[in-house]
Amino acid sequence: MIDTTEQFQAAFFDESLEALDAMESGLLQMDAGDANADRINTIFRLAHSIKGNAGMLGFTPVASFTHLLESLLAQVRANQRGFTQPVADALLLAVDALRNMMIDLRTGHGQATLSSDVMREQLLALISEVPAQAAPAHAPASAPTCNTAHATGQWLIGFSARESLLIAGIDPAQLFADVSALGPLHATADTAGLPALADLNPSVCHLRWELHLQTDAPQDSIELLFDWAENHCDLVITQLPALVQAAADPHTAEQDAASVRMPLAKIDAVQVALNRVTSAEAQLQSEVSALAGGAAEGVRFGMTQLQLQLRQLQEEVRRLRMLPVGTLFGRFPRLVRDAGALLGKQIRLTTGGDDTELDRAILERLGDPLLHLVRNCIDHGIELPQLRVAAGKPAEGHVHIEVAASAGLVVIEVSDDGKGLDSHRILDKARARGLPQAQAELTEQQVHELIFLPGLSTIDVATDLSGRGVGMDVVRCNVETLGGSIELQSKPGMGTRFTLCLPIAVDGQIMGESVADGLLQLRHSA
Amino acid sequence: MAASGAQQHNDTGIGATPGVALGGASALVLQLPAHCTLSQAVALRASLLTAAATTSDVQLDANDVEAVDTAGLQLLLAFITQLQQQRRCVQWVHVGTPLRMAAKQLGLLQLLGLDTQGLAP
Repeated sequence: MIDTTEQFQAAFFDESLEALDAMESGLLQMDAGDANADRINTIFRLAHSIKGNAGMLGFTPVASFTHLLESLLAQVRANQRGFTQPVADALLLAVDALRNMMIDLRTGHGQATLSSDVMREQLLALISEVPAQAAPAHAPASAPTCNTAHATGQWLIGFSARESLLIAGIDPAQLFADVSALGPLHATADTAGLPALADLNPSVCHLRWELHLQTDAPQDSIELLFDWAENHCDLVITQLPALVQAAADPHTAEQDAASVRMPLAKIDAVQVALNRVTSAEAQLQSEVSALAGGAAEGVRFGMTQLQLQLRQLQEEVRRLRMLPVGTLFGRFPRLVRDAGALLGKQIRLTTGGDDTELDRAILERLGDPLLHLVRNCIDHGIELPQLRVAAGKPAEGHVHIEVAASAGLVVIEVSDDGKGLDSHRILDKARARGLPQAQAELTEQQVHELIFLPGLSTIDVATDLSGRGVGMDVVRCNVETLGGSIELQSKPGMGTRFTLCLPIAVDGQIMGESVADGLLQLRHSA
Repeated sequence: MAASGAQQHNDTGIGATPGVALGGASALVLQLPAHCTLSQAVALRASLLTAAATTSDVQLDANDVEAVDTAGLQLLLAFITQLQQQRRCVQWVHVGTPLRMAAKQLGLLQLLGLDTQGLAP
């Protein structure tokens, strides 16, 4: 097994979990029977990266499991099978199993192994439905399912290993075997760089190759096979002899974006240091104000410049902490899908204003309340299809999250077009429980707001989805802790809307509590 | 050609046996290990260096070879190249599928003499 450091492993887990989120999101964006080639390619690429990195770090069970997931994707990708509901379900469950394996590996637990073994059997059963001559996982897309540059014919691939290639666990023999699954491959080795045996470092690959590949696969399929080696080799892929019909790849811009992963704690450390500088600046300012004489003017001018730069620096550090609120929404499509299936409801989730930025400290605390609100919409708000149709509504219910920011505040609305709150039922329950707030004469709005009281649930039986755990009182408490507020509006038969109003950034005290071990992904244009 | 004589295994697990007739001369038999891979590359290199330091022709016995990778084949290529430069004979015996397939994938069949099972000086 290749030696690895904890640092590499931590980065692997973080990146892989992010990739799994992206895979899940991509799968959820496709309807059964309507696979999107670009999305399948993206999901395949993510799986391939996880497999490569897992293999490199010696996490063989993860690599092996991902290989199965990849194999199923490859069958879809090559049009050997459709993106049916069972396939979509299996892929989503496989993503879950893989995520659990990652979490267990990271925490040193082993519970996920059993569930992944079960999932492995399911994947194998699905994969085996396609005849054996079908392409293996590493043999993607002979079928023209991609929008990227298409080429039929001959390819010349120059492959030069860098010093790290073998140590990174990448074996050119295996890599070329993978490539040969695309079509006939002839390798010509260049041994000019091979040192004498006595001088040869056995962990470095001293050979270069020219590969001649015949395939109908598009260029990105060839590149995909090399992507886990991209940092460990120099690669030149040329189509022979025809011109490559280059088509603009929508993913290119994304790939060009450079990014650096930085622990949130580091940014907080910068913030703390900056706070100290700001305190020192305030002290200095009072001293400067007391200065007199000819030299004072120069000092005051310098002080003004210093303060300007300091404000700019504070703003830059503040921006480092900001993340799009849409990062919170990633888990909702899966929730809606699974909950809808569980409850027999048809639900469509839409979001708006996903790019609105919030302080990471707020985002961390906002996740659970938002999740609870969405669950409530699904569980209590949206009606069963037949009831909706009987009420003159579309069978499919709609849950919408809208985010907007202005003047240092962010407003998040979570709404549904369901049956609305049942005022009589809420009031009856509140009075039955002897809640003092329910004893007076109340307006309908006041009745609705009773649901924010501790111990009041609008349903009698806890479901798997909601009705236990976090209550609406906790949601309100969490929001208020962040310096925000929550309101609701509901109309019988029309639906319910929760409106959260929050500050975009938090004060130093809350921010200081939030450092934990989170990671921020900082991006800038290359 | 089969190896003859008692083999002596060194601490690398690679057997070296003198006394095989190769091209009319006595040849050293190198019993390659089960894993000619990166994980065993340091030991394999040491054995090959020992064999290269002799003046004998060499018979490479791949009977035990179960796994081969680029690191292993690269070492064998450097070894064979050196012996060729010294005008010494190299002969392969008991070459199995893993070795042949890996060499083929890397375009090394001919350079390793695996297309003819051996290389003349």
